[in-house]
Amino acid sequence: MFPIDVAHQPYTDPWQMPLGDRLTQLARGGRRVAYYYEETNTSTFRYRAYNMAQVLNAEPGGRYSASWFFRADLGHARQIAANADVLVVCRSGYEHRLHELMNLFALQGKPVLFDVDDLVVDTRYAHLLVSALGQDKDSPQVWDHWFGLIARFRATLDRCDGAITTNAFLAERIAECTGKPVAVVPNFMNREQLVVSQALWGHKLRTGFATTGRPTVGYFSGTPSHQLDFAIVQPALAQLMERRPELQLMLVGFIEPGPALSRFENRIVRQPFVDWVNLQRLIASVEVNLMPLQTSVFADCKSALKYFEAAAVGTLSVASPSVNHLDCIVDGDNGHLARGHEWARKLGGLLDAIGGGTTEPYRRMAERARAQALERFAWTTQLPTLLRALQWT
Amino acid sequence: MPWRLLPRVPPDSRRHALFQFAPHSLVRLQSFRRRYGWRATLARIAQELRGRTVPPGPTPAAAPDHPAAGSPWAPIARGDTTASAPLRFYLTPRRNRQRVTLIGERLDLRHPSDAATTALILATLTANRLGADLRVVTRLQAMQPDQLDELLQLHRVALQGEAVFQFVPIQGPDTELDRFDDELFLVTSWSSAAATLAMVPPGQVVYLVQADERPLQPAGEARAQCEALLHRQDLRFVVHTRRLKDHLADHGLPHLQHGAMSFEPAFPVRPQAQGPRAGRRRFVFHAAAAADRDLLRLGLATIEKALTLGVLQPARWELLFLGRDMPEVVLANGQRPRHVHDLDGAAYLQLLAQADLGLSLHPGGLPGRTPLDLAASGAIVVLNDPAAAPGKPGQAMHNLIHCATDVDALLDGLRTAVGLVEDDRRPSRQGPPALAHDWAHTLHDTLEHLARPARPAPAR
Repeated sequence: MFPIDVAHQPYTDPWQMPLGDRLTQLARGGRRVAYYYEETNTSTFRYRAYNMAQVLNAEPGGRYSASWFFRADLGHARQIAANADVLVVCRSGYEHRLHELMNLFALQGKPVLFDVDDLVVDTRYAHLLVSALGQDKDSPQVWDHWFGLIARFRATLDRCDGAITTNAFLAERIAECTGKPVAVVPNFMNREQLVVSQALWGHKLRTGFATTGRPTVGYFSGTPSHQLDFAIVQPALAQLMERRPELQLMLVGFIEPGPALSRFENRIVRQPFVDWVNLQRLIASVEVNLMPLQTSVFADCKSALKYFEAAAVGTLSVASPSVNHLDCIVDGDNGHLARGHEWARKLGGLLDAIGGGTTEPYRRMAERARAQALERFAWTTQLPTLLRALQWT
Repeated sequence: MPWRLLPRVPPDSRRHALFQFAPHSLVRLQSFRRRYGWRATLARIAQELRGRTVPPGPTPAAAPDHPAAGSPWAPIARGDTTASAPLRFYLTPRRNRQRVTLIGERLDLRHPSDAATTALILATLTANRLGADLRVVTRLQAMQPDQLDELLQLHRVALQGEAVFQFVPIQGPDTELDRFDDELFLVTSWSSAAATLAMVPPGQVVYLVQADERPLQPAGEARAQCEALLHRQDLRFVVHTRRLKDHLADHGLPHLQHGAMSFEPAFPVRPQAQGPRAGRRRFVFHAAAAADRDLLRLGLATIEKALTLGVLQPARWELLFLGRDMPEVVLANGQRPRHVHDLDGAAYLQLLAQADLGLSLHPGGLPGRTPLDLAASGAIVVLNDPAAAPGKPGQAMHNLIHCATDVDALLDGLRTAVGLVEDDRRPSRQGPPALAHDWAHTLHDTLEHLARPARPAPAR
């Protein structure tokens, strides 16, 4: 493991603000965008609404402003519409009050855009999605839920002027089924993440990437939907843990080790779901960040956020070769790509390199990964892309 | 059961349950009836009264004689517990890479692994040719992903796309697989063909034939199904070796002569030639033991006689029995052969490098990959040839000696082979130049064939 000398960060959700403050924040800019999401969460809401608003609000001179609103705020739809020039509806299902909000913008000739980060707007993929998530297919409620949810997302999208999404592959899928213009704004790291990541990276640099204790590979799951993804790498992990008695596995969040790993229970470090700022500390502590993904059109629509969040703290990733992982990772240069049959060899090779007595190759690779991550996925570099997506350039 | 129409009541009062509706149960009952109709509602009530646990919902369209008929949303019955039990697929749009799916029962690549090796090489190169990912589906045993990695490195083949491994047990959790309408399914046995064709159009299925499976089936339904599948003319067949294709065409499957592609094996795996070794030479016995016990007995009798007559002298020969189905035996003079099986790639290479002599017996005289691996590595291998007349001397070519399928002929073959191995004037061990080194070369025509869309199926 890498020793971590950055203290646990006190955390509160930075988006928790009274409605009045959020309206004030929205109204103060020259060009104003209201982000709507049904309710707060630390994944889609953070990446697609809070982070976007952070970029716009940081622009000096009050040229732009943005704020975020929820279902509970829909009783104030007229105030929101009066104080914004654009509405971005993030991954929200159609309902009457949301329709009213969208209609108010439309009546004033203000654009309404739909922002989505997964392929959840086309019911042709519902069966595949239910399978990929490992849902109980014998339950009709499961089918009702997913077909209903996707249809509601699509109904919202159909009433929008265009869409924004996280990557070109997903953009093509959305354009293909809706015919609407689709812009790409990637997921990226916000200010708070980068501040703590900088501290963690600095410590690694100062200590020469020295490790202590057991070598550790980590799997970090922010949602409970990755059990089948993690299953891909379990045979290789079991094999490596068998051969390397010192190897340790860290599981963070909503993930359970499968039967193949049960005999290594005493070498599995479990961490509960942790806030996204302190998550950076945990990621920084492991030598290898695992990023297995099932091969499917859904996987190819996923952003590479796990990669760049690890890269920012100097941790190398081994990833499945999905479209967006291929877009970021050059195998052997700034991380590793592992096809389904290659996990044991690729992980073993990386662990050999780490245990080889010199940290120099790891450090060089980590430096390349971090430089690329900051260039492409830091909040400070997103404004031009975001303005294009909002059709403000 | 997530929720119930009827209130929970003690088991001994179930028959009174209908008279114990709470108001909310009536609301649920009414709601359920409106949504799914009276028939489903009555069926649901009956099940709840019987205490069966089924999730709520409408009755799926089921044939009247289907076990699930009248059982709303019950898990799909898995009555068929044979390897030909249907695989369940659902169609999904393809918007990323194409896919080749290889379907087999085990596909265990621990050596010796004759058929699995060839199937996975063919599937890998087909996927590369189509710019596709590879999915490997097994039914009796989960495949170990790293075995494919090792195999591909050993055979100097690289998969360009992604590899996915799915274990769909015949008994166990009910699993369904997605499929694309342009996906290519490569099936490796009659049972995997039957399992696949239950829900995949034949135009998407390619049947890789590596043995005459018919005599290996017990008489009865399995044999009949196997025959019927091999007679289908709406499938594409690819046969491993021209010799097997000729055999099948001559034995009741004439349509394969012109309707099937065949390819020859390649032997990129050639261990480094070693200098003279100290100690005993190595004799390797390999037979399709699980499939044909008569051949196994024939081999044991031959070896016993060779030991008794001094053709194989214990002081000069170490005996190895290769394969996980080989029996534990004590041979003449108390000889106990060493069992070798489930080898990884490095151990298999070492075995090939150190083997001097082989005896390999197979049904129909159609050797699998292992004896050819031995021959390609420089060992002299004695094979059975059912077409050879009894008493005819064995034919030696390319390190292979083909003999009639009887003890005396095989013993003669062994005697010849021992003479060759022990002949100091013989050049140092080397593989026959006639054996191909490169899979891409031996599979070229087959891959081009598979890359073309299937022709519309003729009327059956």
